[in-house]
Amino acid sequence: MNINRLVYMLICAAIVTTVVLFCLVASEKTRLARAGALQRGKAIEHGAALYSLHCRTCHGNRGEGIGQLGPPLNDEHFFRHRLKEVGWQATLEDYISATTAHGRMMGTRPIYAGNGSTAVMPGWNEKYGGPLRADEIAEISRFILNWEATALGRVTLEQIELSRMNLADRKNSAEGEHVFVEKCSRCHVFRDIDRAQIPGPGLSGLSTIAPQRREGYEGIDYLKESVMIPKAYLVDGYTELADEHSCGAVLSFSDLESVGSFLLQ
Amino acid sequence: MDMFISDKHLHHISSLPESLKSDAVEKKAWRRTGHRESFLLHMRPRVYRAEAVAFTATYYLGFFSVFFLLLECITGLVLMVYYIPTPDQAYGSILRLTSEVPFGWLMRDLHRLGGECMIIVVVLHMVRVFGAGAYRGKARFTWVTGIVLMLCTLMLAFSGYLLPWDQLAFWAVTIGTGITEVIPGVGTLITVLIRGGSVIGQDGLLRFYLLHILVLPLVMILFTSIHYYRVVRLHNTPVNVGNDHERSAEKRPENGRTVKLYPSVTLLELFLSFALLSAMIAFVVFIYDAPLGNHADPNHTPVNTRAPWFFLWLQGLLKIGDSFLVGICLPVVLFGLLCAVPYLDHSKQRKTLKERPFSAAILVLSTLVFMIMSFFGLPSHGTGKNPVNEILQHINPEEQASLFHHLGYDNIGPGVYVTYSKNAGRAVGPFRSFLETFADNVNQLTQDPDVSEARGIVLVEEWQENLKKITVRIQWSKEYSDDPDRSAETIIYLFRSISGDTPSPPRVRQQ
Repeated sequence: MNINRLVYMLICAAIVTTVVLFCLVASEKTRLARAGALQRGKAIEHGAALYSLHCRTCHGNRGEGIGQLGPPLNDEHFFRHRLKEVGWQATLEDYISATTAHGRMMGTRPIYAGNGSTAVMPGWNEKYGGPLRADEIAEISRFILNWEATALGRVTLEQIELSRMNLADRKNSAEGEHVFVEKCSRCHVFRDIDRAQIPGPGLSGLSTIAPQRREGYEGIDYLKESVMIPKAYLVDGYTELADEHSCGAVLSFSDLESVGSFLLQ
Repeated sequence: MDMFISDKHLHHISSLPESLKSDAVEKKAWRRTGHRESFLLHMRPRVYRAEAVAFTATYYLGFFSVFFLLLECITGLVLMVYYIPTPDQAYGSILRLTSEVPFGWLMRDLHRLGGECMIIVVVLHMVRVFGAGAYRGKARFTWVTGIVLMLCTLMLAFSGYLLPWDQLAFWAVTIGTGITEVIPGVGTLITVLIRGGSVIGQDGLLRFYLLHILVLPLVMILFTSIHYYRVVRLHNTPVNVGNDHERSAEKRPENGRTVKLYPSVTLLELFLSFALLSAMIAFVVFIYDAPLGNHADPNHTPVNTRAPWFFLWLQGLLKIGDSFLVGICLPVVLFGLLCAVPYLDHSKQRKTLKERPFSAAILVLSTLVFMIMSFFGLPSHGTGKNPVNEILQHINPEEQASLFHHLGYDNIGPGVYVTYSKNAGRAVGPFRSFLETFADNVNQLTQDPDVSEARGIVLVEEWQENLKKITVRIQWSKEYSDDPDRSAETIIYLFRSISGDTPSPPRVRQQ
């Protein structure tokens, strides 16, 4: 072995290693900031998916709230006044996380729970019987906080025109009939589909009644509200039945769309 | 206790004052004695035969194994400072390590890469020794200790695989530990002992952690010491030196020459260490990222669960054979045979692989079987494929960034894009290329004689500030079916900061 050559090679390797480490030290602060931003972005993405899965049925697809079932989370009141309203001392992120994790023993709004109870928001943390881990709740909080810009009017999002479901479409109606038979016909009668075991309201004339029932409501909107918040509008004679039975937990959004197409044709 | 003092001791005691004063020769002798008797220094011979340290003799694979072992120990110690071995906090501690701790990512990447390199080097080392037939005589037991070390390396890699507590790790280890369930009689008991319960949780994670940081490293250090001591002190002979010494001497002109530990071998090892360390750092900076999927979820099995690459061969075997036979019996027999190799080979002198066609055939065959079984072990092989799900999973893989993350946030404009309609023409750049490929893939669904019509829809909505929601939907109808149209979709949320920093280029699927 040639000692001189070895020494020369060793010095070169040591210089290369030192230069590489020096470059890393110089860029580490920037890299850490970028990694932090990446993780925050990823948390918001995960939070969006979790919100869609667990929260939107009560708080709305875009946090706009649903009637009195779930309050809006994407409005100025929530970001500017909610903490004062409830006397919360810490940050809004803490408030969202704590409320999501623990739920509420008492509501601050009248709630139509749909099953006759006065239960309000349940605890979502797995410690309290919910389905979510603490890190998932933190991700949902990050997602909700990201509504601040639109809620306070700093940013306006570009809206795209989405065609509403064509109620006259035969394919939608066929799917809706399938859903009705499978999931609704135990309580409701619709024309010749008469197999109800529980005397729920008959739906045969719904296409005529629904658009006129509540002012400012189209037929499909009234139907959706009736399924998701049965006590929002009660026809005389069905108060006790509404206390005992709720169909909000049975139908998915796509089920609701297609069964609406079928019933309102 | 010996109450007598020997003459030798008396001599040393009587000569001590003199040696302290001026007797340089005596002092030097004392120093040498001390070195010879030192535990640390006696492991390295002061003089090597040149052929023993020639590159072609060992390809320095033993040195590289020790280098990676030390690298794993050092980076592992740093990682231990920040890692929290509980299901609640393990994943978060890894995230914190990569985004808040300076050079935490470097330690993690080097640790992961070093572990994988160590497996490769250790296996190559074993193949080299097998090829050279260097497992006879005194080397028999050394070979066995080498097999134990290889097993330890694999077990270290497997136990460490779980620690980040992400989906891929959790399910790979769940399936891996599930193999033991098929052992008749005691299978369930063993599985529960390994997992710490019916599913891996707090107890299981702690067991794997303690195995990874304490038990296996201790075994590794013990066997490395025995292995190294035997190599250096008992049979420090290079390839082709044995009874056919004369033939070897003709081939190796350096035979008979010596090389000193210092400076030659020391300088060489320092150079190799620096060079390898630089190469690894460059590799993790520019190419390699230690993978980290989503948080482990015992209630949701990912679509493409796969073993770590070094156990893909086992996953492949499990797909084609009985779990007990190929999952338990075969590996046990294989490692048993590996240990028995030196005791089965009765030839008196060392021969090259060319002179041992049977051994060469076994080596080639084993390599081929390993590669083929690893291929079979890939998630894409041997599992039922739904073409629609395949398209959607390619666009939005469960444990990786979606294709849209690679396309870039600003390149994807809001709108509804339907395959074969004019509005797809509004897209530009890589997004347009994606839509064209997506349309081709959807169109290929109609090659199924049952499918009469298929169309794809990409709906891009601005969902929040810096956040887009992208719905990819495929609808198809069947020719001779009363069922209504079918539809499947995947939803991707895309945040601006992620897409802008994704390093790898977009991958467009070609069929």
